[in-house]
Amino acid sequence: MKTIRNSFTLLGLCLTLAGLSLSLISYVILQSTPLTALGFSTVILSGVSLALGKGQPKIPPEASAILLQSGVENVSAIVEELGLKAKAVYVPSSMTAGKPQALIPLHSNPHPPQLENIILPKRLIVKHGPDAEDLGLLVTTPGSAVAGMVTAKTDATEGDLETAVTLVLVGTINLADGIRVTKEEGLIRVEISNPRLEYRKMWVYESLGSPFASIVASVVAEVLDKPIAVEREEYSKGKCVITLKLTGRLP
Amino acid sequence: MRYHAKVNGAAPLKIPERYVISLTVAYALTTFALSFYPTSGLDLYVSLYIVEYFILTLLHSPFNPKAQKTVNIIGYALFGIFVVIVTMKVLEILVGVSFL
Repeated sequence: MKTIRNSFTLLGLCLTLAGLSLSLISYVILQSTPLTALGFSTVILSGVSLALGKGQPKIPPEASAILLQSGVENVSAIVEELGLKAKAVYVPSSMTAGKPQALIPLHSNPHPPQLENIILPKRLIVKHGPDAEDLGLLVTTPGSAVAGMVTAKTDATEGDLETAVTLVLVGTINLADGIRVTKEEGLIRVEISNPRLEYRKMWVYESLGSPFASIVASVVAEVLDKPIAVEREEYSKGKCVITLKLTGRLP
Repeated sequence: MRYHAKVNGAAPLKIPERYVISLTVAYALTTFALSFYPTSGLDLYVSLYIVEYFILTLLHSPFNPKAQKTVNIIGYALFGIFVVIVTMKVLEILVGVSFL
């Protein structure tokens, strides 16, 4: 028999049993309306618990953190060895023929590169432009895995972006309490309420931005189907504001 | 330090946990309040439970896609029950016969 490890699923099964028993006994034997109603409410709660149990992660968060940490440290070591400090550009999956990734240019430039309308190959070092120096590192980020949950919508409004980022950051990985998105003159401002993530400062975050910025940029790039760069991040008590910039795609 | 690391002392309640607790408290209070009115029928209890379910689900969504799918199915089922209750009440008024 398969062991039930998920607490929500176990709770749901116990409540189903309790609710059905209480409803039947109260209705048939006791003939008590409040107790029958209580049994019915218990059955609804059991359904909700079973539903939430389906959405629980299959591996513990601590194990996920270990896997993520080792991956990020490897990328950070490569980026540090190459001495890269240029800001990464987050490209959507339509430009990588796979999942959303981040392109770190090998040459520092105050402005993010204007990417051609090409599909970047599945390699670590890729050519993203016509010039000889248009080379960059194409890396997978924390946002690469979660951005696959959203669908592209090129004319996405602030509300669409807010819904997509909320679905990922709040609904799926539960790292924040609320999201607010505003658009202004080529910039997208994402306000995260009560962000919850502990991380060590690493070299690669100078290029990629913090894990929050990485996830948000990946999601926004995927929804808009356009390359995005992290302009800046501001942290205050209970709030994190990430400003993203549309870098555009050359036709 | 450029990147702020937020350290949690005590882990806050996650949204699914908050959702279940809110629903439990709402149902318990509703049952307790209506139990003081002996004339309250089962249909009144169920109707209120369904309304509370929709309100609290809306306040706590979106959930994980797998959980959201099942929560939506439960919502459709409860909405069906609600429609049946309302239809029976309307027929009771029109025809004059109590079905519940």
